[in-house]
Amino acid sequence: MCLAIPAKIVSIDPDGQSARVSLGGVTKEISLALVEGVAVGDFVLVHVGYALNRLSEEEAARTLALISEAGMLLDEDLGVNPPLSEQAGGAA
Amino acid sequence: MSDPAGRLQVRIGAAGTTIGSSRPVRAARVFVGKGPAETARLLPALFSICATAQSAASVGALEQAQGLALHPWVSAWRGRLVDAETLREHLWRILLDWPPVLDLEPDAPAMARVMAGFVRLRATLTSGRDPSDLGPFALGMTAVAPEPEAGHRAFPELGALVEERVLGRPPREWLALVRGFDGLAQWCGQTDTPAARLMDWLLVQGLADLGRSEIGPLPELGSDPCLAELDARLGGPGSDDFVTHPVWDGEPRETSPLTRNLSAPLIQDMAVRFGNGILTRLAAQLLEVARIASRFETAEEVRIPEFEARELGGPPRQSLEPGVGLSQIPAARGLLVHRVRVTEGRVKDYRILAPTEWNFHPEGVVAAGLDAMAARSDGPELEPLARLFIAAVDPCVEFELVRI
Repeated sequence: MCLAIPAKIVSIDPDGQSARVSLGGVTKEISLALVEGVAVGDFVLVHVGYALNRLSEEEAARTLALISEAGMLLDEDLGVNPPLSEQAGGAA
Repeated sequence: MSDPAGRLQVRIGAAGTTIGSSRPVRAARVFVGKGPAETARLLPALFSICATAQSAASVGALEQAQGLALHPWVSAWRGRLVDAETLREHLWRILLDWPPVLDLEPDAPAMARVMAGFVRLRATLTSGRDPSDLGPFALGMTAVAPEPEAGHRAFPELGALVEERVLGRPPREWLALVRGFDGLAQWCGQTDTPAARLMDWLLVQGLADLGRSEIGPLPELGSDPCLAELDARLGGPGSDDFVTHPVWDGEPRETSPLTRNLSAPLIQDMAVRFGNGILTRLAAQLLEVARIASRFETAEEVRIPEFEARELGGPPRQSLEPGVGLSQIPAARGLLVHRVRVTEGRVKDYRILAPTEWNFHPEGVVAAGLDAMAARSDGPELEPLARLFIAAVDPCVEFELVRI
């Protein structure tokens, strides 16, 4: 929960306001409106379509490794949870 | 690759609201087997949206689990940084999410200044070191405190932005004017910021009580019986259910800027008129922005060793077993709870209970509010109003809204 994902900038639009990032082999367009001075090859934290801040390749790798490690525990969680009424027993 | 942050799926319509979530509420299990110091260092990198509140909760729980008692000024120092983060998160909503309701552009240039200003403020408050330095969030805090007025001196840039783009006047003046609903209405009518215009629009449209429901606040959980209950829920066999769909005394509850300001005169006055409807919610966020900004603007109020300390972590409680730590932090969106069990120098269990799980419970305050809105009007305006209401309660992930 409350995660922001490190992603590598692969291209920046000519107006400098948006970029394409590579995230787990998928590219995605994000806004650069909240950060300054980022360049192709930089890693940024991405949250709800915005680059939040730049981070070093080492920090990005460490965070991605942690997310991956957590993700392996979470395969069963990746589907959308059903509404409470459809769950046997419901919440505690 | 699925988005590891997860998302909320909200379905609305006359047949009732349903809320599903793919948020990774059990992700903290990744720390099982790691050492406490490594956990304290890695956790804010994983939970990076409210990394400061997450750090405060994590070190508080880990220190408690290991029987480390800290000087109150460390808690005070951490609290000042959590406040700064809360200000940043509220300004995100106010500057980026509120203007589009009035067909205005999100104020991204102002939010970019907020982000940069927060980084500088945080760096100053962590002794001016690298922003990624743990500072007061190093386990068993050994860092040197910043000089007492550092927070005040690093704040003017953010303070000026709050005045210019949000409140339209100095925060202290806003607090003096807006002591009740009449003051708020006066401010709305006189001020040309998007925040004031949105609140004025809600009043003019008769939408101030939008999303009003009877879902009650999560009570204070500071007493020994409450801590014991919370500890049992988070450490017991039903903990996965509890952190996914939490209830208290069998009922869904709300924890938010609104519920922690229910005793403020402004919020009391507005709750009488509009209940927990949208205008009361937005007023609570503005109130926190004004309060935090006004404190940073007054040097003597943010002197780190001296300002009023809040309970962040604390000494071991009799209601907890040795090796268990339980901390509660007032994060931007509501109460953030961490529970950790440490045995033989390793984390054996780690649970996080975040405010979004309370507020977006399938029968919680968002579901009940959206039901009330759909019952009042199921027309084309329902969807944009539902988006506004959801943003006002403020999930920390993307949400998908579907009409059914």
